[in-house]
Amino acid sequence: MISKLPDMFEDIVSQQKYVFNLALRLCGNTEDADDLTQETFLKAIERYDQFRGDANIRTWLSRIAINIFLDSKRKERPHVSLNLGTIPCPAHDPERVIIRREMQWCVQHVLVHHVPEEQKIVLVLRDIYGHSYQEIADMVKISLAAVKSRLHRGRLAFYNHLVKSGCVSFVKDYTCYCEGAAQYEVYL
Amino acid sequence: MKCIYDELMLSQYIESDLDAETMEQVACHIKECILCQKTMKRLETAIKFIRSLEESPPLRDYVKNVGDRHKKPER
Repeated sequence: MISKLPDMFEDIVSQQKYVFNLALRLCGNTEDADDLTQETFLKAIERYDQFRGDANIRTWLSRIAINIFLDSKRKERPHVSLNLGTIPCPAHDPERVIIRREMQWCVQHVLVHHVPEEQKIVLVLRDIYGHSYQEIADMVKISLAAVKSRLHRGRLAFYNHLVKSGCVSFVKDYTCYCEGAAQYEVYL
Repeated sequence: MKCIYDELMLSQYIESDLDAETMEQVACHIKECILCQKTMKRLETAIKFIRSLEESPPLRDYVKNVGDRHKKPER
């Protein structure tokens, strides 16, 4: 079993960006995401011999990260900081960078702070990372029906809070917002 | 007012996670039901916004230090 790590090492290394961004979506700030990512890799490398190969490495790492995240939430103090880190903007237009940053902040804020935890995890895994229902069910240890139900309720909760927070009207005001965001419509 | 149709079906419809016959039934229902049309728009908008989130580069190499310790285990 010891010899398995060198074989897996490159695969684990290649998932750093994925795990960090998953952590960022779950935690909502770079500081906590940094801690969660580090802890995930520490655990993964300590427990690599438990990796059975029936899941892919990304699913396995996600499961570790989600477990650590949920454990930390149980002990958590209220947290309000939100830092998205670096947001690349290929246009290099300062105004667009600001609009984009505000929009990203808003979406991330609603996701992290207004969607119930159990729904948020499923939403992130499905709508951002495209994991299959079965993979999500395995990662979160819930039934397929629960995955579908949480996903649906999470999407509606996200939308309702986005409208409440004014983010949708924010986008409508900036009709020149890049990448087609202005096409979003409000359905109240 | 609420539609008697199972809303969960709409999320599954968006993902094409229904059999062909049910997909067709849901599509027909949506054409007729304003409430379900609104719910569909909400779901689609939510998905678009969530997918608009951009990735950030990791802050550091999380594996290097841990990995170096484990790469060549002592015998």
